This record gives sequence, structure tokens and C-alpha cells, in this order.
Amino acid sequence: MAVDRHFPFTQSVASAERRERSRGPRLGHPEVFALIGASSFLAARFLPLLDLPYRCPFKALTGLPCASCGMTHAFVLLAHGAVREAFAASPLGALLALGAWVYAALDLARVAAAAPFPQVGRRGARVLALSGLAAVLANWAWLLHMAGSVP
Amino acid sequence: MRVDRPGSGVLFAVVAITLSQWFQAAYAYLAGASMEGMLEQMLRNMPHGQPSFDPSFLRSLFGIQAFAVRVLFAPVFALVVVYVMAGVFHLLLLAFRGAGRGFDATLTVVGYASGVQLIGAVPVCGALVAAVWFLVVVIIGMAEAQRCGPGKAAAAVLLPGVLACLCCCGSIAALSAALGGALKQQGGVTL
Repeated sequence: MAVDRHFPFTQSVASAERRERSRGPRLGHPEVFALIGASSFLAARFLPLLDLPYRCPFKALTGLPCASCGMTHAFVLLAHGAVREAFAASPLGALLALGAWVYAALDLARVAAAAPFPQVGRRGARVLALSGLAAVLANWAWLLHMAGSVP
Repeated sequence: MRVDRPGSGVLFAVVAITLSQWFQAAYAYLAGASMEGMLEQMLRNMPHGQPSFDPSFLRSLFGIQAFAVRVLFAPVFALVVVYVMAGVFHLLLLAFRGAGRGFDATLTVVGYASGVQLIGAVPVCGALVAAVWFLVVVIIGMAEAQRCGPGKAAAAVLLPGVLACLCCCGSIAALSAALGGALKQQGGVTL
């Protein structure tokens, strides 16, 4: 009879895997991000966010928009169906809002269907990350252009 | 420490940030009333024709309603902050090819590093000290957990921080300029 030298360890791993399977689907990071996305829609739709007495300090000081200026307006306007106004306030904010809400809905459907989370791979994730960084810079350049400071 | 099970780290962060937020909300509420009186007196002494200041602005920021909202929503705020920060740091690590051990490692580091937010419970300078210390701890932790080296870790952590710092410096300068202007109008005091 073969002796498993790693017996206690292999047994604990196997039993842990069995326990894991018996628990069924668990909420993971994708679901937390989906909840954050869904909450952002509820906040933008039902809370008076634009009535808050807040001004961007960077804009107040320099008169120029910062990289995230207009994002709250974009979220709120898009949540109220004003698509054109949302994109005018901040193109990246509108795209971010749209992406977050579509992601939340798709993830809810995925969890309901017990489907696995799609894997993009390390290269795909890197391309996405670099695209996001480029999008932030492009959005800032567009906001500065619209403010009339950059030709 | 295991970096593939971030549950304990996230819980630790939520507790630390929540406690810090509760203390900061209490300080803001206590300081708000005295600040409102001081500003009202300062505004009364300003010559007519100057832009008026609505005290309800301060009440909305430091009043009992703002206090209640901050206290109630502190745990949710903490969870959102931890996940969003970890997400941003991880995206930048991916961009710099420094995310070798996955999102769990990044989330674990951000979670445990958020423990220093408890220093934010110290009045006046606590939040600033906590923010600086947090950045240092996250850079060291990220370099170790993701095995990406301190350079990439610092780049990933500080790039969003640079933008935030720009905004913070802007707000401090704007506040200084506003207070300086108000004091100059009041009695010729120069800052």
C-alpha cells in the first residue's frame, strides 16, 4: 500500500475543497464591484447630489477643470436619461457610469445563471488598464479644450 | 501572512476606517458651530458690496444631519473606499506589469494598510498623518506582496495620489487665499 507522505495536508485540502463546493456560489470581488456600480446608479438617480455645496478646489483656484471634473454631473444626468448632457459634462464620466451600470446588470445575470466570471488574461487586463489610463488623460485634455485653455 | 484570502484584511479596514470616520464626524460637528459663529462675525465686519456668504453652507457640511449621515454610512463608505482604491492601484500595477499575484494580494495590502487610518481619530493632524503613513505602508506592502519592487509599487500608488495631492494643494491654497483676503479686508493683516 502506497503511503502518502503529505497525508494530513492532502486530506485537509481535499476536505476544504469539498466544503467549498458544498457551500455553493459565494459572493466575490466581481459582485462587490457590481454592488458598488448598482449603488452609484441609485445614488445618482435618487440622491440630490448636485445640490451639495461642493466646488472642485482645483477649478476654484485655477479656473481649469481637474481630470475628474464633471463626473458627478455625468452620473446624475445619465441616471435621469439626459445622455447628451451627460457626455457634454464629462465623456469619461458618462462612459464610466454606463460601464458600471451595464457591468452590474450583467454580473447579476451571470450570478443568477451560475456562470463563471469571464477571464481576460494578463495581457488583456494590461491593455484594459493602459486604455483606462489613456482615457483619463484624453478626457482631461478634452475638458481643458472645452474650458478654452487649450487650443 | 496569506495574500490570497483578503476577507480579514477588508474587515480590518472597514472597522478602522469606520472608527476613524466616527471620530472625524464628531470633531467636525463640534468644530462646526464655533467656526460658524466666527465666520458670521467676520462677515459682519466686511464692507457692503462684498460677495455674501450663506451660513447654511457650513451647517450642511458640519450640522447634525451631516454628522448622522457620516456615522450611518461610514461602514459602507469604508468598504467602497477599500475596493475602489485597491481596484485603481491594481489597474496601475497591471499597466506597469507589476501585478504578478492577482487582485487578492492588492486588496489584502490595501486592507491591512488601512489600519493606519485609525490615526485619523486624532484631532487636527490625524487625517494628514494617516494619509501619508498609509501611502508609505501600501508602497512597502505592495512591493512585497506583488513582488514587483518598490519602484513599480510607488508608481502605482502615487500616480492617483499625485492627482489627489494636486487637488488638496489647490484646496489649501484656495482656503488660504480666501482667509487672507477676508483678514486683509477686516484689519489689514497680511499673511
